[in-house]
Amino acid sequence: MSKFLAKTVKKTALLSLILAVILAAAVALGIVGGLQGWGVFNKDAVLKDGNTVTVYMNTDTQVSKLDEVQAACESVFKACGEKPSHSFNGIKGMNGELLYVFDGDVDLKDVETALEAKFKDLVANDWAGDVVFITVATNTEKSATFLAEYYVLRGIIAGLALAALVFVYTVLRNGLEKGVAVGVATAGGVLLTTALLILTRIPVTASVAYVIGAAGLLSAALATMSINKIRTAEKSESAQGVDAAELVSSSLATKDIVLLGALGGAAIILMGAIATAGVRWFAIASLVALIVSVFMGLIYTPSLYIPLKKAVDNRPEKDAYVGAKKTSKKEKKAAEPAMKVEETPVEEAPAEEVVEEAPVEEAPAEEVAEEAPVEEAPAEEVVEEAPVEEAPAEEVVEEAPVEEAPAEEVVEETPVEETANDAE
Amino acid sequence: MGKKKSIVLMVLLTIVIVILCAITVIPTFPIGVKDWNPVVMQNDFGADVNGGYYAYYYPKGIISETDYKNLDADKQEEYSSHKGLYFKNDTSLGVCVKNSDGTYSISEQFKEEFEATKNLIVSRYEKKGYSDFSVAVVDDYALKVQLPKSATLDVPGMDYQTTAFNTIGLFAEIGELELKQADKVIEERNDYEVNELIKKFSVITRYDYAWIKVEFTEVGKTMIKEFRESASTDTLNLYLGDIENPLMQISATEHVTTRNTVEYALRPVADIAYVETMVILLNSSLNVDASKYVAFEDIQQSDVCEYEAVHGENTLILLYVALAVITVGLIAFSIVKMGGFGVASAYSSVSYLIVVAMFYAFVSKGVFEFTLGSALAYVLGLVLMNVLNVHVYNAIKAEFALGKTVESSVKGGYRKTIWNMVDVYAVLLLGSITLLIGAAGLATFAWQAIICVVMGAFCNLLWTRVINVMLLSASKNKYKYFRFVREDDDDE
Repeated sequence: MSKFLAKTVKKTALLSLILAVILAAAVALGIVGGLQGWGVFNKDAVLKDGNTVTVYMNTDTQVSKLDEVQAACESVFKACGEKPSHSFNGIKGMNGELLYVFDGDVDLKDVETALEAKFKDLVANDWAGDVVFITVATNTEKSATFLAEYYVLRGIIAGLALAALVFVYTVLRNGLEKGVAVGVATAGGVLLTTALLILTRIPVTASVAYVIGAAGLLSAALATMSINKIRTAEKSESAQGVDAAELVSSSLATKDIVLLGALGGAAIILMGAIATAGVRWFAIASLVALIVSVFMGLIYTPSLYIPLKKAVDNRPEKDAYVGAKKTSKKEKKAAEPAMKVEETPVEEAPAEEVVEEAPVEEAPAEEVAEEAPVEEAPAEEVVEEAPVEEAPAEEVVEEAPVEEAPAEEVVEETPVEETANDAE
Repeated sequence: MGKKKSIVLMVLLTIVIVILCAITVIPTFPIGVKDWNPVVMQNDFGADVNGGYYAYYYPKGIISETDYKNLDADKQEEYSSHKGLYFKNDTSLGVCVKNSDGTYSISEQFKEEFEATKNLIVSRYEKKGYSDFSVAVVDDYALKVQLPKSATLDVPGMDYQTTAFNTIGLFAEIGELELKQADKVIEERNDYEVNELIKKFSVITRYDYAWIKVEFTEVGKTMIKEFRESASTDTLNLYLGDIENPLMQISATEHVTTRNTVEYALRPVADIAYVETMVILLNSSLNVDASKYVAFEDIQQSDVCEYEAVHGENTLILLYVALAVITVGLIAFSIVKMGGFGVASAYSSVSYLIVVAMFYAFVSKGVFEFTLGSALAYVLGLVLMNVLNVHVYNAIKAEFALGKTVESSVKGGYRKTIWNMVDVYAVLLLGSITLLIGAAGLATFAWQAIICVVMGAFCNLLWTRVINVMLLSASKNKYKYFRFVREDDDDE
């Protein structure tokens, strides 16, 4: 599995494309659903339009014959070939009311007639002498609202704020590129969960907001675990000179995230299996949120981080390059008549400037200028301790061919300075 | 820590946890004339797990099929049917028109007025901020409103059905606001509409009371200032529609402030929900022109139907059974996976259960309801806590593999993992706080997530470690405690 994950993580473009396609499909289906009247989400039966049968009974009947009334209703429904999607068993004042809800396209006139006949028969025979009062009525119901518009809007704002705050925290803790990866993964978790709920048409109620909120939180947490693992790997000695993609793909937080996914999935499946139907769909939606969060944390966050890290790795060279270039122009004008080291005080300037910026390195820099052979030891030490800085120094040399003469001298004679200073 | 001291502390801790656990989860049973109710049964529950209330709003002149069937035959002839509703054949009620063939049908004007009324009712319930509610149109010209049981807060001296009725009954009132002083209508006297005098109503709390605050427009301020300075003994009465009694009786000396607002104490702060309902009703009635809306028949308390959870009365019990199985399963997993450290993790899991259950029940009672979201927050928080304990255990194991002592390994393991855990919980806490921006149910979920995150962080960062120290001190063999094996032990 590690190899599969390592390979998958490197395919940032493909993963992003797949996510974009899923989101686009969900948006399209949501728009079509909204226009056609199906709704953006597939509403649970309790919120859908429907036709209802209401059985209203007096107190005595409700207290002593409720089970028989319910059994009579169920037998009539079965005989008519209809099945209610859900029912309400209620107390109204001192009386009882059973409300059965059917799909909106079911004609209940025959059911009503059959029920009235059934109760008439029961009153005349089985319940003769009892004070039984039952009426049957049928109605249509069309949902006017179950979710306030401002509720949806504030939910969207909350989701965006969640991603933004997580981004800010991670930037402050770990740097911009890691913050971007975690922030995008968090937002992606919220959006992808919403998109999958729309596409799979899992029946939802207002509690869908909890699932989407949980997806955001979990995506943020798992993305953070993932980034922390990568950060630990980056700080280790074995990370020196390793390609970003290789480093990231070899330092996935697989164990922890997979364990959380497995335990969380088992818990949610248990919840759905033991509890009633109403909880079951919620559990399925929660499972979707968990899977999305695991994907975001384990695969997409590292995958997104790879190109960001590569971009960051390239950035410092240009900054140093600009500094050296400016200096070298002055150098050129000043040093053209005389190409001796003594007559290139400007060459020393970068070292001096650098020394100013890195007062800690002044000692080794001076040592290097005066005692070249002795420099080797500290230079080597510096190389070992700050391997990352060697690369920019070398790159400065490569990208500033005009300065080669003085730069080379600087590199050869004061490698410690440049490496140490570049570390600044 | 000494061995004896550790054992004593662990025994005491175990006793306390067992007692608290029993208080939290032991199912209901009768004690004398009362019932013992565990902590987990003292939540306010959402409709999805514990049912709620519904009622029908019938416009004046329209009755249900049940009421129609209860009429005598001669009375039934006075009505015509429309789907499952029956409307009176009386054009003066504004519901129907007489057709050329002598039959009656619903008028176009009534259809428009009903549509406007429906939107007004919907906006009232939306503003109330219920996490779970619905408004449905029944047979085109009646409304069915549905609220969760948690909408009926525990108000001293009132049963749940009464508080549900208060909301359902108040929101059914459709009418214009009227200000009267000594039977003279203020706005007519000055040729103003009420909404030209009153800007808005709001709720404030002070001295353990919930007050309605009335803010006036510039014109209204002039009017109320004159009223205050007159020190009139007549009160300024606010009426709504057909309600006989005034909703507010404003005294010039008691209720009008020097800032030319009115502050009117209505109910004790425990019943603030009623005052909020009243304020929503008043604000939504400011711009009502009664001629453009339909009025509903008065709602009686017996018209409000209380129903159990839609998917069965056992929905809540089965949900709790599922959560219990999950908790026990995670405890068993910890012990099997991590040995003695797993026992410390198990103590943390039970502590998490107790504290979260108590916070859900007592800290948020009356404010937030226990919903499926609450269960999800609990489960995910518990799973995360156990996974992070495994993460710490693996780090300890890695330190031990380097040849360190058990104590050093524990210190090293925690040192290497603590910032990762801090980051995860910090991100979760910040995320939960931002979710408070969401309204109603999402804000409730956010508060409950904050409870779970804080408790999870406490367990992972501190509590498990403390218990581990005590258990480790009390253990005979530290290697066996962690299920570690040293190479030289193998040689032996």
